[in-house]
Amino acid sequence: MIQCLLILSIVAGCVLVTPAAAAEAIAVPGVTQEITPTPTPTCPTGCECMLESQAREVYGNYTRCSDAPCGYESSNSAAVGPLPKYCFRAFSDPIMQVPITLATLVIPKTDVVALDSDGDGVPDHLDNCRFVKNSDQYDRDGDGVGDDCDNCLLVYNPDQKDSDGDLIGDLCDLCRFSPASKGKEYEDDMDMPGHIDADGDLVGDRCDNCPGTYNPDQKDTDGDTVGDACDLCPNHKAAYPEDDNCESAWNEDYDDDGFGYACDNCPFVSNPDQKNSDYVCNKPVSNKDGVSATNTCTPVDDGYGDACDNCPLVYNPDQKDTDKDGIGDACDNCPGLKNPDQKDTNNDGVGDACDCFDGIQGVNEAGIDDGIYCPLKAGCSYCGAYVKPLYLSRTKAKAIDIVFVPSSTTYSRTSKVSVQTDEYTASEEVFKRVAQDVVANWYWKLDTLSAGSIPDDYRTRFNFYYYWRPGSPADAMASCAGDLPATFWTDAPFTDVAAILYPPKWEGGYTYAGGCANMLGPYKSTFKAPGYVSHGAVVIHESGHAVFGVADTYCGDTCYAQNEPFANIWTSESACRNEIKSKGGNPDSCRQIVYDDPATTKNPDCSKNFWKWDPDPDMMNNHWEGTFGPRSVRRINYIFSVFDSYGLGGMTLG
Amino acid sequence: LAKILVVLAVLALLLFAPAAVAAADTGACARSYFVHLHLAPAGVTEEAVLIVYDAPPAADASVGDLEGKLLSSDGTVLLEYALWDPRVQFGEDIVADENGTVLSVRGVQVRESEADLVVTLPYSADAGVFELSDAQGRLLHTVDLSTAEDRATDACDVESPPIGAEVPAPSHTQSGIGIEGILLSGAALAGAVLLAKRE
Repeated sequence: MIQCLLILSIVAGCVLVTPAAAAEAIAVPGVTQEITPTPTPTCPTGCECMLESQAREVYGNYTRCSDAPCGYESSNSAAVGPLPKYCFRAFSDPIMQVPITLATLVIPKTDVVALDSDGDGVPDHLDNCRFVKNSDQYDRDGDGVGDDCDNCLLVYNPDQKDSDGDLIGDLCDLCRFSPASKGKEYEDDMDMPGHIDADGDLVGDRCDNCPGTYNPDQKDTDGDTVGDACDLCPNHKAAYPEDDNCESAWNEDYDDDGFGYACDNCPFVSNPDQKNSDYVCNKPVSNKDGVSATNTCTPVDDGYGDACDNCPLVYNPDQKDTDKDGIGDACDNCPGLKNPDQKDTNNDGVGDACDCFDGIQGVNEAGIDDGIYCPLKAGCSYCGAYVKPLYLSRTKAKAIDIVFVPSSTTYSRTSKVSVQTDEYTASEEVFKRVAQDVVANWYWKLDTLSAGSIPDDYRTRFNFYYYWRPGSPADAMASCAGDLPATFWTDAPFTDVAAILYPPKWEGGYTYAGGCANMLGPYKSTFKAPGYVSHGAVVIHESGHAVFGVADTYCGDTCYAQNEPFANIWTSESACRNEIKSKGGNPDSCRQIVYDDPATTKNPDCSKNFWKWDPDPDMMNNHWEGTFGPRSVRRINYIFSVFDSYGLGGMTLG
Repeated sequence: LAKILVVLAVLALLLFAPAAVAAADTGACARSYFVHLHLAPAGVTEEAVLIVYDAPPAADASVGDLEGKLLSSDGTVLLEYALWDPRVQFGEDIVADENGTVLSVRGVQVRESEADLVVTLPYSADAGVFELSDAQGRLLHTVDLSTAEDRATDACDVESPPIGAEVPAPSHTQSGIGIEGILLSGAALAGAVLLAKRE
């Protein structure tokens, strides 16, 4: 660092001397300046140790009393490092303070001939502005660069560093990496309190990536020109920065977690931590099910934060969840079967619900690792060529044999016509899965759908099959209960109940989902229902008719016959009251089946005056809510018992 | 004397009870008549008349307006069923969304002009015809069971249910004897009861 001895002279101006030359300089009393080579803890009288920015605020016009730092102050930026403090004092124009006479001029005795490029009378090697005529050699900040050519007039910057080349030195340039407009240097870049640098972070508003937020480090992780400190999406480079730094229509922070929609990995679930623990695992391991499990994982962001990711630990950007159990296919241990509990007793990566090799009877198995989702361990000698077993539990004589039949038609609710579809008839596997889902999600839940006890082994009271004869589908829409294939009954004479399943036809978010049965009871009856699992309540409602002989408990079609024995509806009040009373129930709960909605007299054609007892909500009512009521359950149990006793007395002659 | 008769009656019951149970085939090898009819305005037509392994419905479990009778070859009524008229169908028109939420529902009861009626009846060598009548007792159709195609086999296919399920032993060698046994057992029991009452 060049050390400078200031000697002002009107004639010769400031003379810049080297240390060697300074030793030979003529001392001028009263004009010397203390120079301390090392930081000093104290400042000369009248000077105070402070940051230059503080000096600017305190004195306005100021100058250093010493070149050496008197201390350091930590900055907020690791990149910048500690800020040096110097001894400062108020600056008074030296012209007014120092009497300028020829006697004060310092002239090195050794100078013989000196080059003076700017012709200001000061030789170049002594001139603090070699190419600017400044015979006064003013240098108010004492950095050795004369005022007339100093790019930071009042800030000590002997290196004159100017990164953006706008002629404003870095140390006083509020936008040191962004050149100021020509002719507007002061306006653009110089510090003007409350105007140029509104947030006071010493980065001018013009180039501040957060003009309204103090962020001296200007950190901008995503490089979108919006500083992290004010970026709603600090890790997401927006197409338009203005969408990034405010809650615009494009980037609303719906969940108030501080992250805009554009970059929130859970836009609708508050997760200020944005935690995202997804991994991609690429080392397949086969377990004994033949289903690959994986390990050796590396973290990869799938775009969904843990708080809303259906596979928080697995990379699955599509979030596909086939069985809609809230667990994504990518991490679901039974991706095709609803099992939100993900129970996996043998911990082999395959959930109990579909593990056919775990040695236990899962919820979707007829026996231990047998039936429904598992290969049948037993064959079916009587099934014939066109009936495939899904679940065999008993001899067909003692089981209610239900055969699912695919329909080649569905219904357009908007056009009000039957329409052809091959959704269930093109692929045997597809229809088999449809039938499996109906069993697993609905028939297998008869206990919870019943407001009374049914046999613990109720699942084993059924045999389930599906009918698959290419070119011979059912026509669900040909009649109320649907038409079976012409050869169905001779192909499957053992069938107790034929269940025609048809696919939904979505129109405007809705579909026809009607059902119909042709008989009360499981004696070669037929019903139709949608095969879509969400509409399985229709399957169960129609099964109430066609399998268990339970009547509707709402006005409309309930009035065909009292379903003796073990009725759930009665033809008169007295019949209802007497039977309920004899069974220990409250006869006052008998009530007439009247309008669905008395207020609107909806469906008023209820002329048969039937009576019911089962409380609402009732599976056999028209809203598909609730359970089979106690009277319906009694009838269900009766049907179970009849089948259970087949071969012992239920069919004897006489 | 009465006590002796009661004892004899009980003995008779014990003697013939197995025959009574065996009057019809049971279990996996229970043969049945399988009658597939088509009901239409023009009349009733036969789609199929078979003898198969199957279990017929319990007579007291059937409800409906039609009546079915199994008659022996000499016209004796062996069994009567109330049968549902499958042309009477009942259902619901429903519109629902993807989640199963119902937008609208309407109950419907339809009387289709035609429908299939399938009935299974316990096999008996004595069985002659099956008669179907309407609610007013008018005969709709008579099925000659002697023409039934026998799809059952002497070997009797075992149903092969899964592990744990009962597999009854094959047996279907008796038929008419069973009915006689039932009648005889019933007569003996009735006599015993009457005598007991008189005393």
